[in-house]
Amino acid sequence: MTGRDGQAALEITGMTRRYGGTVALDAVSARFETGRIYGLVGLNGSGKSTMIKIVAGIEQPSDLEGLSFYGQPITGPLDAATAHAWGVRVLHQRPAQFPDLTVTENLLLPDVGRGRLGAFGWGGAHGRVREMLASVNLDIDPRRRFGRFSPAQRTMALISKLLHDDGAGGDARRILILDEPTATLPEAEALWLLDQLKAQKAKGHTIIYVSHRLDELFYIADDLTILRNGRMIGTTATAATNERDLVTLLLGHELEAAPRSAGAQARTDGSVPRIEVSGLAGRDAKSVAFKVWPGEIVGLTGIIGSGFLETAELIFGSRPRKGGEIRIDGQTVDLRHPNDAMLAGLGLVPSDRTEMAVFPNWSLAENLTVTQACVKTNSIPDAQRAMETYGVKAPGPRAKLWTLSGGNQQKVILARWMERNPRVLLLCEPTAGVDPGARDDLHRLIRAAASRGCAVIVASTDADELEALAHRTLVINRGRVSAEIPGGPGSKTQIREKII
Amino acid sequence: MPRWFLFLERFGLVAITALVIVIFALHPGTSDTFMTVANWRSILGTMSIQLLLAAAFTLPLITGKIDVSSGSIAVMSSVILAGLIGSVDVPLTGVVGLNWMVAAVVAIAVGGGLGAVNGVLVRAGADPLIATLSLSIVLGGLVSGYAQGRAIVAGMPAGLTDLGRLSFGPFPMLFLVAAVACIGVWFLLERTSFGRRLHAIGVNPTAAHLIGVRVDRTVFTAFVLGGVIAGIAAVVLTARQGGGVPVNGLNLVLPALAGTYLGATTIRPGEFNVPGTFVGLLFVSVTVSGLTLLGVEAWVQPVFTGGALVAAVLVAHWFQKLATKDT
Repeated sequence: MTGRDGQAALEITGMTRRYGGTVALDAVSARFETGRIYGLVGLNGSGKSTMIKIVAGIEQPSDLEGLSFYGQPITGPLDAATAHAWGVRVLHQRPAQFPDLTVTENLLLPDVGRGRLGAFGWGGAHGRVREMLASVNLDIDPRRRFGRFSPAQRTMALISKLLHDDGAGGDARRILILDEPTATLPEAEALWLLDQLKAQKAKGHTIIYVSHRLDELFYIADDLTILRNGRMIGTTATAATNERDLVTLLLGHELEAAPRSAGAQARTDGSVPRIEVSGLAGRDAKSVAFKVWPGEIVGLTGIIGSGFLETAELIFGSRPRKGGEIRIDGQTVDLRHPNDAMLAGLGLVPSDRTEMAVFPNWSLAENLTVTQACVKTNSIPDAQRAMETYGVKAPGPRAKLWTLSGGNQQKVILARWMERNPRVLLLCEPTAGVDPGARDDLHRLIRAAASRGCAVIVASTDADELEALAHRTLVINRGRVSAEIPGGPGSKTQIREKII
Repeated sequence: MPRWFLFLERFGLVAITALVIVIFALHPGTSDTFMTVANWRSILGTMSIQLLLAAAFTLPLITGKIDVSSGSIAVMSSVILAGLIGSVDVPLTGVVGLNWMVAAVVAIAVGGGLGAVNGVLVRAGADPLIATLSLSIVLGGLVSGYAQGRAIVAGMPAGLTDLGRLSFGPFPMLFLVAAVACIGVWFLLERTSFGRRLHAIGVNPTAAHLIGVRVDRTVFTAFVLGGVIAGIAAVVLTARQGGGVPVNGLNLVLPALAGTYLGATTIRPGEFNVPGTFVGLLFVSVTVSGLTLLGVEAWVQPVFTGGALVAAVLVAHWFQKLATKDT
């Protein structure tokens, strides 16, 4: 794939990193040219983050044949200061931000500068920040509270900070490493962010973009650098490959074709729906109505604030419901608390695993059985069996949950509900931030639940996921169902159109 | 991590406590006084109050809500208990001369009621430290007003004061009461659904809500139960002191809090746990006792307790860092 004569901003040869007995990176070599966007892809545990940490000088390699920035080999150890001096900047997955401080403070801290009399002058600071924002085409008022802007705007503002943090005026070339910057963004916002990033490469910055969202990678990346099990599979021009081939490269084998379950069509034959909601209202949801039959997987989607995520939470009773009726198997139920919903046979996988679902210091077994009787005695054999059933990869049922990868944690969270044999499963962004392998596993588990007669509601902003899973997808707009899109191949384009 | 490392992390404080006991048992300055039945009665007797207070505030503490009012609740309940049974003319009731067992039930109920006040304040949105601290300050004033600044000791029935003197070998009766209460709290926390729910709330309240835990109600119950145990501490306190003494409850609760935080560095490091609390309190008590027998001046005691707490927390932090480094 070489042969282009662009200058290499970063060239790595023979980089190895061992942790005890495990090899995280195995003699990896890669070349990143200036003015291009590279998608760095690999499943969890493929060595992506180790590679990033070494390049940023946060970790030291066990072995390294050579590393050079802009053709200059680094001779001494690569520490954080050296990497910084060469323009390496990393935007971490959840970058530190202060929602209650101004945009200016967020972009200038820890050094807000000094004006006359040694005191800090707001006027000058705002002016500087305005320039920084302008360089990334962001027109927001630096005096406002950071938290009031959209996540995508905030991410872009933080990127402008990385481009200007040494006061160089933004002319200095950067090697910008972005670790899943869109993981928590809805599709429309993510798309905006990607367009902004594309504009930056023309300025001579080199962008290494880490993401699990394949559609995004194909949209933004010029080249794809692929890691698997700590080995470099290679770098390929994005134009020369496709999603299917990429997944095969990532997994090392072909992805199984998604089987469609029998109850693919909505049953209009007069049978009683498993769940029927009407007039459902909360904060964003105004009057949501729909029916789901047993064995059906129905997608719910929309922009943030449309009420599609809230709908799932309203049904589960975890948010105050202002109105509406819920029927389970024809019986009206009054669900005022998640406990009521659980007794009625409902389960909910929340949208934010870390904040809303896991008990990180508890063992896998405890996390798994917490929805049962809530007592931890003798849960080890159960957990062992569940690990096999749900394909959870972990050292054992006693492993602390935080030591598991995101995908395996999410399997535990899904398993905790599936073990209850729920009548209705409400899944909010069930595969957000999960690698393609685990995502495939999770999708298989979700289909299995539906095929056992569970009614599954998937609230997701991920059109690919909805196409892969849903028998039909409901688009929520301003708190009401605005469209129903039948599932099947090609439905994602329709979903995207209807959302925007 | 090697096995010995985890073992050291869990049982380091246990080993140090054992070592301290051996040292004082062999040291020429304390060898003839430290390992005596009388001295152990004294050590365990002092510990009984601290253990009960620790058991009381551990319930809300597990849910992530600190409670500094247990000592003040115990003192309040104790003077009320003494006022109800003694021959002192107290405000509101005068001389009642109630049967002490009935009065003990009243004292425990008062404790539960004051715990409910904490629960209501916290449920209404008050920061738990501020809510329980405020209650402590208010109770301090009420105690002074009720006891009129003096100890209520006249007319204490023999049944109650005998309880304070009764011992089985080196174990005072009151220590056994405290031990039973601690085992009860341990069982509640580790072996019942209610206890697991308290833990779940402490670790991640949002996640707890989403697995069906009624968070507000459970936290309220934890404060009420904490108050009830503080009420039991009041009975033990009254028996031990032979009456109701209007001391500052915060001074009672702080050593127990220190022991609990010290205990969170051992047995199950990083978590408040009842066996750990026992070890923490025992460590402080035996060291203080030995030093006192050596003739060390009284001011050394708080300096030692504070220093030990900071040292233990730093060492535990250092262990945690080592343990997570290689993963």
